[in-house]
Amino acid sequence: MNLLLFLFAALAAPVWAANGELDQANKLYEASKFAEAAAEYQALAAADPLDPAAHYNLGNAYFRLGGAGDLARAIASYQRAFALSPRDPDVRHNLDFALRRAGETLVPTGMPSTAFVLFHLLSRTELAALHWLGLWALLLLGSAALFREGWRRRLQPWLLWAGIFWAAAGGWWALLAWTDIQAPGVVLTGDAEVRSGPGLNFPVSFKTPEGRRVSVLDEKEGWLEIGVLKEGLRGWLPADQVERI
Amino acid sequence: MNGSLLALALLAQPTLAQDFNVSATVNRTQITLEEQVVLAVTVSGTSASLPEPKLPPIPNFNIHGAGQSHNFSFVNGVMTNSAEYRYVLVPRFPGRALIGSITATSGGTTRQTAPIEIAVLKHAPAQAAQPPSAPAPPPQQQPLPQAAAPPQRGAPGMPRNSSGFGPDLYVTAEVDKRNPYVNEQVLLTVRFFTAVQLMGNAEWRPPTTQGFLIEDIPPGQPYQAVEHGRRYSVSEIKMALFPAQAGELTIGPSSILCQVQQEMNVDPFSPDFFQRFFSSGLMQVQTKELKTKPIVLRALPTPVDGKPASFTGAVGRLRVSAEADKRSLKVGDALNLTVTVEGTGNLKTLGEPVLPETAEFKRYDTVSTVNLAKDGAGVRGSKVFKTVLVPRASGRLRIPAIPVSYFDPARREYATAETRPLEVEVAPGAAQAPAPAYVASSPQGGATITQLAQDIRHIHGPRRQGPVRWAAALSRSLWLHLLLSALFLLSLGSFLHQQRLLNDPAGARFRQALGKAEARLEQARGSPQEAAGLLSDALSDFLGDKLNCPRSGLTLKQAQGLLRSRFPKMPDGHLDQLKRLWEEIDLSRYAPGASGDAGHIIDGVGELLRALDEAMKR
Repeated sequence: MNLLLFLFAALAAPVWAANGELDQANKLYEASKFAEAAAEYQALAAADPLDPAAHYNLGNAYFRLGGAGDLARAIASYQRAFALSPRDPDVRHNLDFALRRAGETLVPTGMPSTAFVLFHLLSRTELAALHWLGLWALLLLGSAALFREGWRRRLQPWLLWAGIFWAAAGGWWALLAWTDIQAPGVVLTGDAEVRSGPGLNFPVSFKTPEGRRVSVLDEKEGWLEIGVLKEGLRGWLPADQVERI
Repeated sequence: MNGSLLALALLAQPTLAQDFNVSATVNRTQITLEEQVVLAVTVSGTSASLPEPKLPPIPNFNIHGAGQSHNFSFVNGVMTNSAEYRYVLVPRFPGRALIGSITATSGGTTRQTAPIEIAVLKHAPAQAAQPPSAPAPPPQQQPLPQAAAPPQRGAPGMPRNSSGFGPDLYVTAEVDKRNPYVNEQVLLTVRFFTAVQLMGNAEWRPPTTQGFLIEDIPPGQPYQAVEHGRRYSVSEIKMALFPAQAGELTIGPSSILCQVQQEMNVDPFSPDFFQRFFSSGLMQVQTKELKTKPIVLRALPTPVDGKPASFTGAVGRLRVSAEADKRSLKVGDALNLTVTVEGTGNLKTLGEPVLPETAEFKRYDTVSTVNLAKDGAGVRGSKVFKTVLVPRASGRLRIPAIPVSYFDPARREYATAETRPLEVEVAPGAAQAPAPAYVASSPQGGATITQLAQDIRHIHGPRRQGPVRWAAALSRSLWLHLLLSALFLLSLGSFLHQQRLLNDPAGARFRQALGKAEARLEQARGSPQEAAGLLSDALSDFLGDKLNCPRSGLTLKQAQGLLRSRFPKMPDGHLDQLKRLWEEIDLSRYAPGASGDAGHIIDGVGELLRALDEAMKR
């Protein structure tokens, strides 16, 4: 019991402390002091990376700032909020709104939006936790069944359900991880020149708009090899032109 | 309607769906040789950059630029831009003169005006002069040099014939300064002196120059002056020149072409006297070209010392003012900031004033327009810079003073003019306001909502944390992983152990024999009265388990025989010891008191059992 109380307090303490700071940052935002609000939200997100509100509000502040690279930073922040809280309709709306400005959509073309929402009903963290819970249930029930022969028959249905639950959660988790952008990043500059090699001596292969989501494939001497998912292209960009998510 | 009297020749092309249009107007379509025409060419469009019009050759007129003005507005995201170029046309000959199509070209698109016809009369008609049809030219547009009227006969000091003291015609050129600074205005004045009747107006050919930016200036009013003891009609032509570089610069010769009447030397006894007399009279027309001398200037660079950071090369005397089109607005609304720089000097090349950086406003590109006025003193006017600012924050925001630095050649020092700082009241909430919606009535009588704009949704306040925090904590609970895995492994080990025992009972008895026997020995130590029985059980149980035979009824002889057969390498000493202890135990069981110390027997049995167990493992 004491252990549970301690765990609860340990998890909740930073949340209570951050709520006051979030209020403060929100007041700055509502006074249209977006730059100051962004700095506050950034500090909050750095202190507690699991707070979706800090990432979401940071995305809003960047979006309102509207300077060079701010759309991309807004998309990166919304993407982090979406990873933590995929069921939040506001997060989905703002991420989609910002992505459309960068020439993308949240729901892939051809996929029904309901299917997308269902597929992203649970975050990867939540699915990982469910997968572990299933595994632990299997271990506990299995231990009990092994330990005493008399319990074995009675625990058999429970073992079956725990196994199904574990396999479903693990499979969903793996599928989500496989379909998500691997090593994601966002291009910070408009008309960023993507070259065929890591250096200015290589020709420009193509240009990407600001805010385009990319997959970071490799890194070499201040350059990142990126893959642009929508167009299926890859090339090299200076590392300071990409924000990793 | 007095449309014809207005003499307005608005000859714009029809408005097409293009970026720009060009139109031309003249203030009069009928003039005398002593008058002038003001031609206004307007280029208008919806882009910030408009092309300059190109005049066709107009041989019947001398053309003088008389300034230009721009009008630019940016309202609700729609840009309108127009530029008017004014020219003063001085007729050279009487007759019908045609101003051909004036063209403007931008991005491969060419627009042109329709030709304009002007009637140039030698003298004004008998009736009242033609009233002006368009607004009078601006005050700086002075009359052009006209056909120089011959000096009035009988006027004091006026020579009676062309063979007076001075020449009949001559031309001079002078500049107001010989050592100007780079970009400082130099006024070139060309004076045309004539004491004889000209046939029409003279043609002016401007000088060839290199290293100057040139603005021509409308000609001034002809006047009369006495030079070299003779009265002349004097026409002045002026040009403003701005040195573009330091060093020696030359203003080349300019020329004036004119036609004068001269008496012919006619021989009255010539056979063709009458033919020539009746065809052209006793006068003949002669074309004369007069040239000015080249002028050499030495342009000086502006001083290096004391040059302000905001200096961009302006030379002259400038004033600057700033105006915002609104003083109260909301965050995200656009504000037009107009910075006007006015004064004398080369305003065309004036650089954009540097707006101090401020995080409270988002700044968009600046668009500039030039309005020039020209008179005898040179070029003056204004350059207007329009910038769209969008406030990012609410409250009373301040647009700082905007400096414009220039070099004042009269004082030979740099000066900086500044605007007054402007304050605007910015209300919050516009940017984060919900998307505006328009509610209209539907034909069915209900209300329909039409969304007019989309925006991001509002920020989140502190709210109950979702399960992600717990999920992350669970996923990272390594100790729980280890604990449950260990528990499972333990259970599995126990299970496997049990399975092994079940599958090999003889082996299990063999492995557990010593342990069970030692437990009995310990028991025997605790109860001396029952020690003999317990020792007998321990020994027989041990042997039964090891030899996998029933322990009940096991005799010493059977035991020795089985030990020898199953374990051939068993030492004889162990078997002897077994026999001795067996007999001692039997003795103590059936003849209590005859046997020795029970503790000694227990120790001996213990040692024997361990020795046998060891020997059996080999």
